[in-house]
Amino acid sequence: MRHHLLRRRAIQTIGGAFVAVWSLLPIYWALVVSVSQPSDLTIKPVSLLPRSFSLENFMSLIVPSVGTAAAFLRGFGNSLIQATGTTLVTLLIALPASYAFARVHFRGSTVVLAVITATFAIPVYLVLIPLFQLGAATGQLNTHQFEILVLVSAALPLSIWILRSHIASLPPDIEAAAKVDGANTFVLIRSIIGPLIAPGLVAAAVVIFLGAWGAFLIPLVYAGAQGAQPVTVVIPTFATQFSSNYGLKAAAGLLAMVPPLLLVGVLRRYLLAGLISGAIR
Amino acid sequence: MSAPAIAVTAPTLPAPGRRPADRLGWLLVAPASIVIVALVLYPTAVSVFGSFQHYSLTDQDRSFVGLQNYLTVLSDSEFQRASVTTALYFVVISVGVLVIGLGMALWLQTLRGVARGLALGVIILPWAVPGTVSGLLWSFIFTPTGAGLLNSTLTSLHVIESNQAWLNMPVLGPLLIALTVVWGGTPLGVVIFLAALEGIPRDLYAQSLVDGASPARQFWSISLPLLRPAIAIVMLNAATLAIGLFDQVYVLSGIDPSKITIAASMYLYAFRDFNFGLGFAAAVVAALITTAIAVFYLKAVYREVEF
Repeated sequence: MRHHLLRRRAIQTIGGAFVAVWSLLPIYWALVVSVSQPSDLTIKPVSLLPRSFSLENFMSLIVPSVGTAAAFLRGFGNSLIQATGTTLVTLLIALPASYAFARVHFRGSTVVLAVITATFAIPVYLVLIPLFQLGAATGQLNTHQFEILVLVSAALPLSIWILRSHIASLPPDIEAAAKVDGANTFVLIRSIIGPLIAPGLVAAAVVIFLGAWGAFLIPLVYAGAQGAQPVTVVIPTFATQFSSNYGLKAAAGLLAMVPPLLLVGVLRRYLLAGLISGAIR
Repeated sequence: MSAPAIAVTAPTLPAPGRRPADRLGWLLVAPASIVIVALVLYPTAVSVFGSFQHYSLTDQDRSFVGLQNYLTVLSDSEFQRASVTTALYFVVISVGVLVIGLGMALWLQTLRGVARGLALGVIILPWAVPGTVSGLLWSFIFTPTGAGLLNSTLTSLHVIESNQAWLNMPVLGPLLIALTVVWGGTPLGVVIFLAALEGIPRDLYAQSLVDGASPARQFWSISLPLLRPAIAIVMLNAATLAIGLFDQVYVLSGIDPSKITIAASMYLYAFRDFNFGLGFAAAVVAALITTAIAVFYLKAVYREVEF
């Protein structure tokens, strides 16, 4: 028994070391690079701690008077607009649809749900050129609204899947009571169903936001011009433009992952609970 | 979250010959359906149709050419090379996400309480990192000069004498790019595996313990068979990550022909060569391969489990 406990403890420790190195090393090393002088990095033997500390690289990305900051901040702002917009619009469209699929027994619901869910499997590159043509034909390329619309279409299937299973697991008498009170369907969805499936809504919102914030191929093709470029498109241009300015690149990458990291960090409990009880069952 | 401005009163009495549920249902799903039809289904049809058409932005010819685009794409050495690279990505990413994801989920199960919450929090961090940023983070490790962490560590330890351009090496280069994709793809795998493991009734293990089964035996005979649906979903996700891989390759290699996937070669046909016809054909080929893999996984691996 003692032997067994020792082995368990050993597995926990070795596993913990692997998990920490694997998940954190790339992020930690970028932090070291971002605060170090470029010459520090080539000194032998290698040091895992920074040899010097300067926030200059971060400053040159967030103080608007510096040239590099303009492009970075614009990209960051565009990402915020596009990811937030995508999240709100997707939820606004997905929630009523999810309610209908879970609760309203209308003719054709099974087929429509199956088709919408199946489009989850349609890869973005299959629709890339036609949507580019559509955007060009309507003069909507390099606009936030077109970018958001495309991201919404990509986020809808998974969102509907998550929300529908959350609504389906609610006890049916809840709405019966509301219906007796004379509440119409939209009021019912907004003020009763919505709050009741809050964990599912939060989980869906985080998944949508992460997807939209991280999108690259879509904005590269549809929002490649400076005006609407999100930060994921700015980063690679920085990577080539400042190829050997490792510190600046590292600072840009770290700043670009702050909003999604914050969301996942703060809402982790909701995210996992919402996903596990919703999509993965 | 606010409700749409239009409020529609749900009819309370069914009118003869018309079901109010139908109207209400269709009304509620209409916005989602319109978006899906206009921005996913219609463009898919355009891609499939266009793959049989001559469609280059450099001329006006739009004639029907049958399978010509497919033949051109499949015999193009750049596309063939991309196919081989994609297969390599597919194998490495599938194995990586499966082994590391399942390993981490099993490891998490040995933890309780705060330790487990903290560990899970660390494990899911890479999930939040955009693909381009993850490529950038890893680039500081693989940098070909002495400033790269891998070079400086290995030269400090005298494992290598001179700095190596890791990403330019024939097989190792794509392998390291695949590693960065595994890094970003593992968290979802862990969450799916953990949920599935937690769903396995405890008494199955208790019973087998009475029968004298070792932990290894329990894993192979109880956990693994019951994890089949989770494994299918994780493998399917890994396959789509591999075939659609673009972001990390773009950042780490600048779409180097020796590292691109078939999905990325579609991008090159369309937006470097401006030949939409070839782009359509490449996209359809990539999508067909993904579908075939999906069908295989769902048929052969995914099997509803009964407890």
